[in-house]
Amino acid sequence: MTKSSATSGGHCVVDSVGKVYSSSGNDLEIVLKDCSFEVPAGSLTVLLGPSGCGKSTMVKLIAGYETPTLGQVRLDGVPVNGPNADRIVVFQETALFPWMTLQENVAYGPVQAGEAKAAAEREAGALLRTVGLAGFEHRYPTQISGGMQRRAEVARALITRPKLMLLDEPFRGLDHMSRGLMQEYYLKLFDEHRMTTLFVTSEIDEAIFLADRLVVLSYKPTVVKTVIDVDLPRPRNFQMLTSATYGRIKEQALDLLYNEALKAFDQTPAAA
Amino acid sequence: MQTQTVTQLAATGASPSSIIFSVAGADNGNREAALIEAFRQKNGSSQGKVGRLLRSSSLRYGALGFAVFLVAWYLATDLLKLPRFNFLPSPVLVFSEWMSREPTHGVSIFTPIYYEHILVSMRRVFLAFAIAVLAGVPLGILLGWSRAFHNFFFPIVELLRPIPPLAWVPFAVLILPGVETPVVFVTLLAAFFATVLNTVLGVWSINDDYFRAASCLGYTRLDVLTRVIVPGSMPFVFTGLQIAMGVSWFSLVGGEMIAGRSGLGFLIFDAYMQVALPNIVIGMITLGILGYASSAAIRRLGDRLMAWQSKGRNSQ
Amino acid sequence: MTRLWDSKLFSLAHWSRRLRSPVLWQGLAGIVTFFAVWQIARWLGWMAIIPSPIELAEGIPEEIAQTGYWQNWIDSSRRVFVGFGIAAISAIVIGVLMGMSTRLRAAIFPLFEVMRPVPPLAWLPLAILFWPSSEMTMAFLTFIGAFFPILLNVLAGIDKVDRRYVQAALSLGSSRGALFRRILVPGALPSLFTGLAIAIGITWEVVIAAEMASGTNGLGYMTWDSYMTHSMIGIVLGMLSIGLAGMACSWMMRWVGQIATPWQK
Repeated sequence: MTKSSATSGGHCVVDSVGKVYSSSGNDLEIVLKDCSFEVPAGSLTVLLGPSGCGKSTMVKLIAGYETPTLGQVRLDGVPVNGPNADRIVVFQETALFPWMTLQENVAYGPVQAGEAKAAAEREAGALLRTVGLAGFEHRYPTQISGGMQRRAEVARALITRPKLMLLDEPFRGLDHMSRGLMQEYYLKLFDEHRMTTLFVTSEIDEAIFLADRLVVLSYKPTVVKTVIDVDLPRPRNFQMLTSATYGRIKEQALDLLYNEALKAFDQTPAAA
Repeated sequence: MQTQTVTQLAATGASPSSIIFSVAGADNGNREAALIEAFRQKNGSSQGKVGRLLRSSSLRYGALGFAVFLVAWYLATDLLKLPRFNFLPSPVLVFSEWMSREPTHGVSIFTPIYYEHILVSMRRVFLAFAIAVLAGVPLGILLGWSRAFHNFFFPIVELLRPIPPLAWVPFAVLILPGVETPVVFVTLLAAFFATVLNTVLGVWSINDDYFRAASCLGYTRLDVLTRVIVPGSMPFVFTGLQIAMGVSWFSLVGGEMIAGRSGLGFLIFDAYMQVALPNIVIGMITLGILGYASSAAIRRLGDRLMAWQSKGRNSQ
Repeated sequence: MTRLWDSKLFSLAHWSRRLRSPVLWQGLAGIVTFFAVWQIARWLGWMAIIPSPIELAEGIPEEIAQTGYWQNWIDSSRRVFVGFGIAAISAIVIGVLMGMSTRLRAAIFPLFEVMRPVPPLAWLPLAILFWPSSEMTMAFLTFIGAFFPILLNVLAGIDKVDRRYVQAALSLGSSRGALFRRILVPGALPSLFTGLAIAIGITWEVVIAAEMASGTNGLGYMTWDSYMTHSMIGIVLGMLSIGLAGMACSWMMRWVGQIATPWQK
């Protein structure tokens, strides 16, 4: 895994995407109203929005698990039509296959792509060591901690060299400390490989710390409120969280997000 | 606003089909109407549940499944008279007998004896079920609530539970008086154990925080019972009741066949002895309908009583 | 077999911990009280038909020593395993086909839903008429008893496989075959073993009843024969043997299940 993925493209265009679901009975719910943004090749774009605004829906549309009601998603100019190995999702809660060891999990993609099992497992073992999971290759996912599961899942995605990495609130549910470490970890991997990434989160600090550009979403029915370029230098470190640029961007994003969060809060049923 | 405009997107190479809808910035009403229209086109216009169900392919396939089964049954028993299958009653014979005003073998929907068998079986099942629930739920709550009680009594339950109800038949017939009591006893055994076990699991499934919250609120033991334990264990209890209803019918048939003098299980076995073949199948179908209906009734009751549970799920 | 040696069964520490735990002693006290109450009731002259625990303790070894007791075990077990084996294989095959094809499922499932509530024993007369030997009749009944629980659990298992696993597998470029073999099958395995454990318990119950109604040997027949000859000790021995057999089989199923799904805690 020393090859850079940036050369392989990954320019993703979300073009006027809308998504309607039928909820209970005959009610229709417009989740995404009109969303257009781009993920430039080799960039780390963060999709930021209040919880429940349809961020996960957006990920499903880009991944191809579902189709937009209106509009289109394109990857390097080709319309997205169903799931494919050029886009890999790292899910909110772990989606490591519980019945496979970590090594088998990571080797799964290459084996499906036609690589010999032994070679794939060697490569998987090597990659697991680089994400700090040496000695855990033969454990099952339920036998390791949440942070380790995340790293293994990122490794499982990385090994297939996807054009686009989709991370759907991947560090949610981790404690504050491991979350910070995971962010640094992902940035290190990103600096190394420059894999085009769309990172979804509802945490503003996480968003700014990671992003080249922030795509800020409104609450449902969802539209893109704004796109903010984050001109913090790379490699990033936690000292930047106190810089003036950071403060300015955070203020700008917070203004937008606060009102949307308020809306979300008011509309959420009390039972939840 | 730095929102991407249509022209910018068009420059990145949007395909013609998508541009039609690329009316970003158009007023809200239009966009929402367009979305809903597109959704309707993709999913077929919705004209209520019944309309959709009738057009749905699953219903057609289901009907096809039944048709194939009935035709195969008819061909095997009546038309082709395949070896061994010719010993079985044909569907035509069964249904004409079942619906006949003057049935050859004395049992049809127009004869009182048919309903007597049904009533006898239903009375036994519901009596057994009621006893099993009235005894099983309180015992299950005690076993789940009190550690000491559990440690002391649960091994006895575990000792007796593995013996299948029907293995009790000879024992029950010998020690219990009359014809009715042994059959009801056998019927209630499995239902009783299913209820006890699931109630215990239900009490154990309650989050400890609820008990702590209750003690912070100064609940008495009675309050804890009625407001925490009973509602908290309800989902498991109802799972137990559904299982209990199923096993009640199961054991009832065995009990009636071996030791009964009436009821649907007896009807089936008696029909075999008297070579009144259609009655066997009539009895089986009736048992199937009753078993299904009683389980469905419990499921409905459970859903209604536990509305809070499904509400919580919907809001997710 | 290292698994077995590593298991709690052979761990000295585990057993000494168990021996010191009050739970064990409370449980034993409960069972002892149960038998004591029973024995005292008999001394007081109540429940005169039921043999007392002491009479059972004396009588049961005699019964077991009689010729034919162990043969009954073999006869019943054979019926259970034949019916259960056929049911397991066919339910798994049909369940998997139904899980893969929504059309097949839509065609068969309603039919099965209607047949399922018919208690297995209600099939007995038809089975006697149809099958040429009583051995086949009993195997068929056990098949009916075991088939539906296994099928339902296979289907539930396939349905329960988390959609994210399927999605992740598709993103990783799975073929249809791989999706089936490496995702759906292992995902449904725990539920399958639950079904097998339930089914084998039902199988024993059906065999017992079938033997009582139409058999000439086996544990169920033995119990019924004791009833005919008014041997209370024989009846109780029959009940205990049947309970033990069913328990041993369910326990065995769960053990196999644990070995087959090592990722589960």
